Amino acid sequence: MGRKAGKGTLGEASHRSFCPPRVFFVTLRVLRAFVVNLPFLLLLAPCATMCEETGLRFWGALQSDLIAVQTFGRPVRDQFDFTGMSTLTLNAKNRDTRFVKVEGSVDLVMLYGQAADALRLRMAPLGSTQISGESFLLVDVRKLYASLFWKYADVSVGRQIVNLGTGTVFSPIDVFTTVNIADLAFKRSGSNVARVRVPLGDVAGIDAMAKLASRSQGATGAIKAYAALRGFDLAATGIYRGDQDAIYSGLTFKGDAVIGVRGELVERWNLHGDPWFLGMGGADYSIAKTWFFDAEYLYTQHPEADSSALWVSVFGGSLSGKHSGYASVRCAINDLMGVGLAVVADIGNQAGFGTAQFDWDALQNARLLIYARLPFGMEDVPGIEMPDAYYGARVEVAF
Amino acid sequence: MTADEILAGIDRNQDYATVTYTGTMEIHVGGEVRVKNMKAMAAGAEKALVEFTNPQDQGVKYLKLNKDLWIYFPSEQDMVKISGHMLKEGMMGSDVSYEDALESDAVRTRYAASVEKEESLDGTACWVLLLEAKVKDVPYYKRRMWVDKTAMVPRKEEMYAKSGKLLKESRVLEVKKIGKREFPVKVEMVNKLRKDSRTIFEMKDVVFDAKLPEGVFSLQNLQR
Repeated sequence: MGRKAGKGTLGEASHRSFCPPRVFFVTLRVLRAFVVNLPFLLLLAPCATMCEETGLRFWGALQSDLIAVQTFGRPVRDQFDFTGMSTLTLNAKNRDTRFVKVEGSVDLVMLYGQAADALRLRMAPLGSTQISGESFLLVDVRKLYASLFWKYADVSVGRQIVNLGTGTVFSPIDVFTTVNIADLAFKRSGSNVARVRVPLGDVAGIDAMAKLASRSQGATGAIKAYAALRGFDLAATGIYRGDQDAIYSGLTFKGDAVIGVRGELVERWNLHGDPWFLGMGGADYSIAKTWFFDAEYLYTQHPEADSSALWVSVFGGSLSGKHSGYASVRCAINDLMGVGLAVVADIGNQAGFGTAQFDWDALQNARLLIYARLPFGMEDVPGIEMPDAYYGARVEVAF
Repeated sequence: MTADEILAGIDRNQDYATVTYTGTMEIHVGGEVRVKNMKAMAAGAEKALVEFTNPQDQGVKYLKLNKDLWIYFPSEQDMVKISGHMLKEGMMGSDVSYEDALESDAVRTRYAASVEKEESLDGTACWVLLLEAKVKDVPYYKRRMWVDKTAMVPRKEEMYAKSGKLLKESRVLEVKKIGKREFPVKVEMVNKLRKDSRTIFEMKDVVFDAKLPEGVFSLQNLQR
């Protein structure tokens, strides 16, 4: 409820041809992250008992997905193939966070079946990244940062998830963190930033951040002023992106007007060009605590010129367009289970994907999801035949 | 005693500058049970911060400031304001709605109260108060409250819609004397609109009037 996400960025699209409905940042960036963070990962497991005495708290979850992929237009017995993945999420945080906080969160994703085959083919020129013959391991370090809490400001440095906007799926103001729109929960990636938060009372403040990047990557910095006023969360944000030589300015809001409303109005200037506009509007409503509706619309004035407006299809193509939309409806059968439908689409090009899902809080700390995903209007990646449908079952256990 | 005097007596028991506690919510749905653990602190009725500590919800926090409610999701480092239409939804799937949790103004200011009768409830002598809304902005149009004559604690409460339909029923399962206060530390909330749906809320390690750090009820602290 209320989770929001932003848009994915281009760059990792080409390898995602057979990816199941969860994202992967499979490129050299992941390879580098894996190598750099391997010591952290190796220390984490055997350290569990020791760290209890030194004040660390560990928790996490294991998700296992079994997915059948279907390609139409073939004899029935040749239409189906298997893919799957297991994701271990490990989190750690110090127990006493009154003055300082140290937090880490890493996803270890093991792929098998068709998705592993596809990634293995693509990664082969870069060297071996697989763990064992049929599997493929991906590592996503989503958070690894330290925070210091002073009376007048909080300072955080390291890899963290930065949310500047208010959208569930689309958030044109969110330039720091990419969102996996193919993920069932619209999970976000981490971003290496240094951040300072200065409170101005209980419900207002200033948030400033800068990306920790090399000269070649270009500096990116943002400053956001926010306040809660008359039931609305309001914010004004200014961003400079050195990698694109662009400045963004934006206003965001979230609040109530009978229905829940949210929006982002963003103007972008290339330092050597004309400005253009991006806008997001969204609404949510519920009926009788049973039916929940959510919808968003994104307008991008010049999608061909704005790489941040290009968001990635998990199926290997890319979706980019002037008009994009998201809609979802969920029916809560009871407090433990529900069914839902969601669509994410490039409206102008009539391309996107739809997801149907049943979720059940099956046991204490255990959840079951059954889902189906159908892409439509997506362009094939050359040389890759993309499945036409995915049918998955997921078991999720928290610990 | 008049209804107002009885309500004033209840308020005296629950009059505190601050309270901190650890708690559990047992959510019973159709024979299944889910347990949520939390730690909470509140300053009067206007400010509260709750953090969940069970594995599935580790680090999820709620901040209440007057009539506004925010939720923080640590996995996404995301803070979201709860929309108005969601306020009737149960917290974490429980039968305690956000609206129930947000209710802050004294009952006396929003309801016209009268003593309906006197009755024994589970062997305890009680006044039965009838409260009818005198303002629009209330979660329940009518409430019936059984007040323990000795402890000055509501032992049972029925909450009704304007149509007269019984929506929820709460029962105090345990009262503890903490300092000079009689305080309900275990409460059951039953959803009368759903079959087999109830939540048992229990508070432990209750401490009143402790000095809380400055800025604890703020958006800044919510995101820490």
